Order: sequence, then C-alpha cells, then structure tokens
Amino acid sequence: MSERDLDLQLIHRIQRGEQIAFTLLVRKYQNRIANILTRYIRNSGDIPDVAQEVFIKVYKALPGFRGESAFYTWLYRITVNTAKNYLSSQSRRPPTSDIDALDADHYDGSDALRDIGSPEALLRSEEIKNVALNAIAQLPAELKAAITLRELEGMSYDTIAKIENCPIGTVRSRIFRAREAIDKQLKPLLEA
Amino acid sequence: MNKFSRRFFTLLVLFFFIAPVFAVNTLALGNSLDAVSKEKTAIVYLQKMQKAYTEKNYEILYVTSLQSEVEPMQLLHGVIDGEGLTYIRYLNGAIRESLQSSSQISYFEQGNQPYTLATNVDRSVFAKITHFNYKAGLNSYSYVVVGKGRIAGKRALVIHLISKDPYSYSYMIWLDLKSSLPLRLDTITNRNLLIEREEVVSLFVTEDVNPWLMKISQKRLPQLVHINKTKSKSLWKLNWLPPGFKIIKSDQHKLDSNDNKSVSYLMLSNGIVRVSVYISAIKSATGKEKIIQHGSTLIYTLKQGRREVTIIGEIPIQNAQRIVQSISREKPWHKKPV
Amino acid sequence: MNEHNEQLSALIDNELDNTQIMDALVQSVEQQDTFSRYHLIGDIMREEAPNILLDIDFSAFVLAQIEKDNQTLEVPVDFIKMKKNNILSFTKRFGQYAIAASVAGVVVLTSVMMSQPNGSNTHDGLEVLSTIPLGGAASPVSLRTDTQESPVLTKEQKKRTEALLKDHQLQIQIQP
Repeated sequence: MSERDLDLQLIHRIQRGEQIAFTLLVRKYQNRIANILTRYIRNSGDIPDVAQEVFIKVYKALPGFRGESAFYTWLYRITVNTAKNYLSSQSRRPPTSDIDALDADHYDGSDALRDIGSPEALLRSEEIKNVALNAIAQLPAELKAAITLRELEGMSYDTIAKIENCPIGTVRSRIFRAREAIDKQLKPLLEA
Repeated sequence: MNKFSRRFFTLLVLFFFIAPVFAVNTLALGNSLDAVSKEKTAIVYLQKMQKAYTEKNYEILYVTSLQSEVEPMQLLHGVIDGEGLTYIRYLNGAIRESLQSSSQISYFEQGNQPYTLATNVDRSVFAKITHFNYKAGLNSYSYVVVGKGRIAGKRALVIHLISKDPYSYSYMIWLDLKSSLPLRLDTITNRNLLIEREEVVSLFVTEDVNPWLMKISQKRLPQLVHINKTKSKSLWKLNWLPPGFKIIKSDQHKLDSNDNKSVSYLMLSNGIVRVSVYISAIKSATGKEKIIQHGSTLIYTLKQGRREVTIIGEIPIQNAQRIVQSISREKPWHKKPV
Repeated sequence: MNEHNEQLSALIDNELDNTQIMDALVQSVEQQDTFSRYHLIGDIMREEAPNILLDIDFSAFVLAQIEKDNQTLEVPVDFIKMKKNNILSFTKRFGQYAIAASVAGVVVLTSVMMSQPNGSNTHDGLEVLSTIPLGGAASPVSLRTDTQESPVLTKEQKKRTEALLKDHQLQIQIQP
C-alpha cells in the first residue's frame, strides 16, 4: 500500500531532486494549511506569507523526513509551530504593521474591520465554493455517494466497493466522473 | 498688449467660473504692474510656500476630487531632528495609510501586508507644486497672481500657473497668506476645464511636532521591498520632447514577475509631473487609439507599426499623441556626437 | 486525456502506483492544474478550505522565495531571522497584492464613458473612456455626454492597463 501513497511518492521524488514534486505537494496541501492558519492568525492578509513560511520550512526539513509518522501529521505540526512563532514574534515587537492599532486615542479606525482582508478575494473565494457545492448537489446519486464516501469518510476504493456493492473499477470511475463534473464548473472560474 | 488683455480676460472668465464665491481682488491685475515684476512677486510667494510645506509642523484635512469621486484625507507633517515626516491616511472606507520620510515610504493597507519602498520622491498631496523649480519653470509656465480668496477659513492668495503651450496642464494654486502653506490646487485644461482638485478643509500649524507623529516615527517600519534594477536602456527613443520636459529614466523591465517579455520604458518629467512611456512589440497593429482619462491622469495607447505604445501621466492628450508620433528605434551603432 | 484524468483521480486517492501517470503529471501544466482543482474540491467538501483561497499558483511564490533564500543566505534561517533580514522579494509582493493606496481608482476607470468634447473624437476608431468633468453639470464648461455603452475594455486589456498603471505608480516613486 505504501507505494500507492501519493505523499510518499512525491517525497521520494523530492528527495531525488525533482523540484516539481515539491510544487505538487504544495498544491495538494496549500488550502488545508491556510485553513489551519486562519484559526491562529486574525489578519487574513498575513495568511499567504505564513503559509509560505510553512512550506519553506517543509522544504528545508524534508531531507530529514523519515516517514516514521504520516506526512500530514508532520506537516500539521510544522504549521501549528510556525503559526505560534509568528504570533509570538508579532507580540514581541510593537505592531509596526498596524499603525492604527498603536494609539487608539488618535486612531478611530475600526479594529474589527482588520480581519476582513480583501473583500474582493473573499467574494471570489465564496463564489468558487458555492459553484463547487452546487455542482456536488446536482450530481447523480451514485456519483455523489462515491465521492462523499471518499472525500468525507476517507474510505478506500475497496471499502466503498463493498458498501456500494459494485466492482472497484466502477468506484474509481464514479469518483472520477464526479470530480470531472464539478471540475467542469470550477475550471473556468479559476482560470478567470 | 493686445495679447495681454486677452489673457486677462480669459483669466477673469476662468476665475469667475471656478470660484465665483470668492471676492477677487482685481486690482492685483492692474495694468500699471508689468508682467515681469508680477512674476517675480509670484515666485517669491511660491518659494515661500515650498519652504513652509517642507519645514513647518502642521496637520491638514483635505479632499481630493476628480470626476465624481471625492476622497477625504488627513495629512500630518512634522520635522523631527531635521527630517521631514509625512503621515497620510484615507478617512473613509478601507484603512489605507502611508508614512514617508526623506528616504522611504511605507504603505499600510487593510488586509494586506504592509511594505516599504525606498524613494525620495514626495508622494503627498501638494508635492507637484512644492518641489518645482519656479525660476527655471518660467520657460514653460507664466505665473500670475490672480487675487485673494478664502479657503478653510484662511485668507488665501491665488496664483495661476499658465502653461505656455498646449502640452501641459495649467494650475491654480491657493496658498495661506499667514503660513504660506498650500490650501488648494486645481488642475485646468487649456480649454479652462477643471479636471482635478485638491482642497484643504482644515489646517492647523503647530510649533511642536504632533505627538502621534512623534510616536510613530520611533516605530520600526515594515519590510523593505527590493526592486531589481535593469541595466539595459530602452530600445526606442523620442525625437520630440514637450517643452520643459527631460528624459529622466530609460530602461527595459518586466511589468510583472510572471511576464516573460520586457517592455522598453522611458520616463519624462518637467519637474511637476512624471510621465511613463511604454513601448512593446506586438504582432498586429490596428492604428487604434485608446484613451482613458481619470482626473488629470491620462492613459493613452496606440498600436502602430508592430508596436504598442502606452503613455501614462498627468498630461493633455495632445502631448501623448505627439510623443507617440516621435518614437523611433534607438540605433546604438550610430552614436550621435554631443 | 479523460483516461489520464481518471488515473490522476485515482492517484490522488492513493489508489494508483503507476509511475507513468506521475511522470505525465510532472510534465503537464494542465494536469497539475487539474490536480490542484481535484484537491480543492475535496477541501471544499470537507470544509477545510480557508475563507480566502490561496492562489492556484501559490507554489510558485514559495519556490521563488526558496530560490531567493538560497542566493542571499548561506545557512537556513528561521522565520524570525527572515523577518529581520528585512528584504522582501518584490515579485512576490507585487504578484499578489496591489500597491496600496497608490493604485486606488484603477478599477473604476471603465465604469463610465463620455465622449470628448469638440473634435477630438473625429478620428476613426478613437476610444475614450471615462472623462467626466468635476462636479458634473455644475462644471465650468458643459460637456456633451454620450449615454451609449462604453467600448468596454476586454478582460485582457483591462489586466494589461492595470499592470501598466501599477508599474507607472511604482516607477514614479523609485529612483531613476
């Protein structure tokens, strides 16, 4: 099974010096990492920078990754540590990035507003999510079941085949057709 | 003399259109004063204004208006240990601030990482008219003290900077008689159309530096953004320059890190405005002009003869059109003497 | 193509150990984008997508920074030291964000259209966007307004114009 594990395949390639494999690793995890960071970091404008730090650390530490734990567990730990470092570095230094937070008497700018980030980016992200969720809602029942069991329950094709009482090849095809149908809606949006 | 009285008439008409509520002291335009000595008087006032703008401690609230947009802003200026520091912020909408010293400017924007740029170019509201060499500028502008008015509760002197050619805009400057600080700047086309206005609504001049400004002056600035310099010169040259303008930059650079193509770039300045000229090779030329105007800022594009030229700056369209027509290939092997 | 994507789909589910599909993935930008979107679908379903999604090319910024670090720093530095280094790649900053207040207004450029007064629109093919006199009707000279739809800039042109305007804003404030 381990040779099927995408993370391990990618890591082997990275360790062999294939930089593009690192790109794929980032692409795979970038939004999940950003999502973890939002729990720690209020200002969404800082998220891309901290996420970048996480992946730089990963890049530097990967040669020493022995695979004794799952890659995601390892990545998660780095993410949380980076977020905490970031927070403590912010509190150690005066908040130079927030002129307006320095002196409330002189600055009446609403502090609450600062978490919002770019309204445009937020709108765009919401649109992408809505389009994806609508596309999923419109899937035929057997496709929806297959991708839900895979993505939400994390089940293997083998397990899904037993639950749905169909061959593994059918599971594989249904999951792909589900992704393809959703992707058809998503693709033009992400290319815009 | 005939010429003069026509100008006089134009001025009056212009003035009444733009500022009918202000009492105009037309005596200042009396025929007994000759133009030269009046220009000298104007220069004295303008130079006093420049000095006050960079050397005094003050706080202004002002509005910038262009087209239908009106933007209220705040500016704090202080001189700390001999160095000028300017803090500017938008008062409405998203939080946008900047802090500028003599060598750098930092931008702070809601939701984005703040950053610092190394620069010695003043970006504040009246920068255009407070760093200009008015004596040398007499070649391309004439200065006329139009009269007196009242802005932000202050008695103001009104000076008209009239472009001598159709390639630059003219300006009306209101300055505070007491502090000499600028109070209003109107940008005017050669058809006497007002296209942009910056106007102070409240001005406080103080002996000491504003304590808030003092406080932020001690804070560490955000990260300095590093900009790669390119060595190569523009592949194109201009065979005509608008009066008073000089080329101050020539290079090839990329607009964006994702771009693989460089554009040839020239920057022109007359000491008041800075104009960018971008020239890039294209496949098909349509000869089509595209003009975008936002206040006094013009974005002019012409595709012509396998090249696309875009000119951006606070200049009239005629200027951009003539610059474009004067562009030709730089021939490095034909070095001109001089 | 379809077959490829079906294999790609199985690959991301850890159900494929065929190195050929991985080799194809490594070589095709299109496949890599599909790879990203398939993962994004999963992230959205699991509600593991952040409020503001990262750019699909986010990895390019990471690699650019890594390359930069390799050039400028001999030993790996941690996050805090990086901050102290106080130099930031402009490509990254500019790729992702606007240049603060200085470009405010560029988006509204195409919102209103008016023709130029007198003459200047006699040229064939001349397109003038958004020139409204200050104060509308109360302005010193009355303008003939054209209520027709503006010759809207294509997305491509708008992007290009924004890039040029941004660059202009940058150029006018950095040293010659």
